[in-house]
Amino acid sequence: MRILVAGLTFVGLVAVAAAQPPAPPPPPTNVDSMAAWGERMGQWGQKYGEQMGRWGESLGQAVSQAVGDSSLQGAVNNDPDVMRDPEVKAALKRYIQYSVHHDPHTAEARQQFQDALHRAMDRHHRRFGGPHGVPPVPPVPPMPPMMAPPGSSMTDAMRRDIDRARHDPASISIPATSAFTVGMRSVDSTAKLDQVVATVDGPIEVSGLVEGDVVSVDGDIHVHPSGHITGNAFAAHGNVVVMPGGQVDGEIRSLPEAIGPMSPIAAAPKAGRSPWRSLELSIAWLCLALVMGIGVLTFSGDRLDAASLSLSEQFGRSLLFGIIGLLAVIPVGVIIVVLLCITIVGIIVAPLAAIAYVLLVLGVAVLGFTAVAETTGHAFYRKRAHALTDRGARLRAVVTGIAIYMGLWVVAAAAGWIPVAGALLHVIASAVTFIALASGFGSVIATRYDARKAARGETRIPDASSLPGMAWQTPTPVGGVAAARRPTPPPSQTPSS
Amino acid sequence: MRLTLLAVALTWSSASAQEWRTLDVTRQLRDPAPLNVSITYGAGTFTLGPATGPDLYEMHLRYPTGRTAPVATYDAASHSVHLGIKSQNFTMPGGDVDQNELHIGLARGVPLDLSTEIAAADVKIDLGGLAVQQLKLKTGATDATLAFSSPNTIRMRSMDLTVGAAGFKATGLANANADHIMLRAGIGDWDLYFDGTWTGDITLDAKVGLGSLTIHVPDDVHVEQNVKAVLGAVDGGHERTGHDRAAAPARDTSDDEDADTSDDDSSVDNVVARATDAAVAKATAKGAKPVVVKTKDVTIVKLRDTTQAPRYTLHLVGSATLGEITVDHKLGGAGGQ
Repeated sequence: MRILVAGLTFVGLVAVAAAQPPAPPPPPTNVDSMAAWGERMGQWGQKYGEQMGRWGESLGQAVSQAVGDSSLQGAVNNDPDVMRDPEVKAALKRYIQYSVHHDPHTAEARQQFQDALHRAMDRHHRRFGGPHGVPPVPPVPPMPPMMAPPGSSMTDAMRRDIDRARHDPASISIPATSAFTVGMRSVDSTAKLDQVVATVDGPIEVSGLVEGDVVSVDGDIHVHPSGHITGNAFAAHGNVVVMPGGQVDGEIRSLPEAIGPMSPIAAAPKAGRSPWRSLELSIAWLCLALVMGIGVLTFSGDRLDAASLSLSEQFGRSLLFGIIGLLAVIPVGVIIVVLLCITIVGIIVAPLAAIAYVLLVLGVAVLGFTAVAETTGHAFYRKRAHALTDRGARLRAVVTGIAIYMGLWVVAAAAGWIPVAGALLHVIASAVTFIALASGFGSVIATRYDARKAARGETRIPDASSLPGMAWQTPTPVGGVAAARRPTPPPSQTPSS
Repeated sequence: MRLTLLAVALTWSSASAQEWRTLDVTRQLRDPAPLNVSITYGAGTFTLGPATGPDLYEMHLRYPTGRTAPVATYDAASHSVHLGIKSQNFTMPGGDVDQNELHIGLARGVPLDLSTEIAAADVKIDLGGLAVQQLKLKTGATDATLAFSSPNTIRMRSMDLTVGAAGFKATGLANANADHIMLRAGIGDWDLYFDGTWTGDITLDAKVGLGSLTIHVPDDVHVEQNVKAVLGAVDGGHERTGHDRAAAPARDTSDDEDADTSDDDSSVDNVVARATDAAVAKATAKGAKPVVVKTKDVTIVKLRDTTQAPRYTLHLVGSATLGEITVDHKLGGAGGQ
């Protein structure tokens, strides 16, 4: 019995293996013609038919070996699928058991098996309606996308593809959509066309003369040896194949892969470079600088006075100190961090020190820039200084100076759309801002430098009395000169009185 | 676990995948007039060489959409073409950037004014067989190789090489057929091989910043250097300009050779030694300076003619700011006519 079952299993496996259909032919590529694909499909069908025949033969042999009865064998040969019917399988099993054990009911079981076989064949015949013995045809491999037949109407998808090709950054000379034909198009060797040849969803075979461009969307362009295109040959989502002898006077351009417009990320100008965005940023910086300037004037008036005095007294020196200081910012920071990292404690402190250093540099820059703004503002209102109180005059000077310097950026941003003037204004604003930052930065450094030297008694204290209008100030060893309220003339000396 | 990691990796890669596009541009050769070629490229792989077909130029560009804007414009009036990309958003090195590729082929026989600017790419340029009359190569952070595998078919007016911060190797520079080569190098290691066919003296104007420039010249080419070593070093030149050329220590003209092969077997050493001595004596009698070169299998006695000047000279000028310029004389002989 075991031998019988094993034999049945083996034969069944062989039959199933033999019944595996051959691999369908690969879908045609762009360069393959439909005729070649059809030929391969024919070869596939022939091969499949041969294998189906072997499959049926194997099944017949299996049943024949199992049953050993010519009448049953013929029935099963006609319809091998009935052997998979549950009733038939149960009847066959019972018959085999009786037969193996020489049971007296063997004949009865055989009759039951035949009856079950007939019933199954009837059911199978009613279900599929075809002749017995023919296995169901497996699904035909899916048809690859075919080129539209010539003369087909243009679909919305085709129009979208044309638009995508038109907006591809690498496309050239796409004619109007109405100029496109649909499907395959040929230019015979005797033909001479003096117009653009454009086709969607089909190849273009050029064997004659085309005096103009040849454009194909979703298809190839084949320029045969006798073909001549005086314009460009452009295939979007396709290839241009120029055979030896074929001539294209213009450019041969292919976009074989995806086509379409550039994504906004690459197509749009960078956000920071749009004129409106630049204007927003410059105004925001103006407001921020005003807030910081007023804050410096309020909370660090003494240091601001010292820096302003240094600027007024020695602008060139402040500028030199500033340039050197700005150049030294990064190296000094690196040196500090490296030196700190020598020790374990320093490694722990280094991040905090780096942050403190950055804040210190920013603070010096803000203080210096405000000093420059105040000095500029004072110069701007030099003839009307008496119109306000001292504190009001300083506030007006700071605001005016910041507005002048940052206003340059606002103007430059507003004129950013003008090709030459915008760029020129940006250059001017950059240069002025750099000079202001450098001189302000240098003024703060120079002030601290002078203060330290004065503290050691190595240098002179700035003689404020030598400066016009500064005789009222008192030099100090710390800040160079300390802020003091300017003495106001007695009412009797005012011109109005 | 491995499958999980693989699945995660595949998911991530597919999520981060983007659309790639290909642009193939070709123009058939119709007019052999000189062509101005301008090439700009960002990150990826860049190759440049002779066209494979009868084309004026051919370009194959593969690029990711959204990051790169291609350019391929031809101006018939000025007979100029601009190929490559016109903009590229910032991308981190590695990853899919390495899949960017640009190949350009140029026509043989058409005089070319070639200007190339490459930002950060793996550059391989072989201009052998082309007719380059002017070359400007500007590279950024690239690993670039420039080769003249065969002689340039016309005289090159100028060759300007501006190398940023990366490695640069130029081979077959004698094939370039250029009188004047200018090199501006920033940071990195650079090797210039003056092998190939020498047709005249060459002036190399090299200004290097921080790095090492090694100039490989044939042993029969005279090197005359006048390089300012600002804070760097210059080593290996035959002499400085204005010195007596006869003082050059190495002038190799292998006009005559006597060779004697020998085995490593010690039993034949005496025979080899006698043959060598005879060859040296013969050379001395001719008034030549013999040089014995022993290799594993061969002993060669070369005769250096001390009375004949080298045919070609490499004039080395420029400066080494913080870098080093070294002249290496180990190339083979100049194959000039």
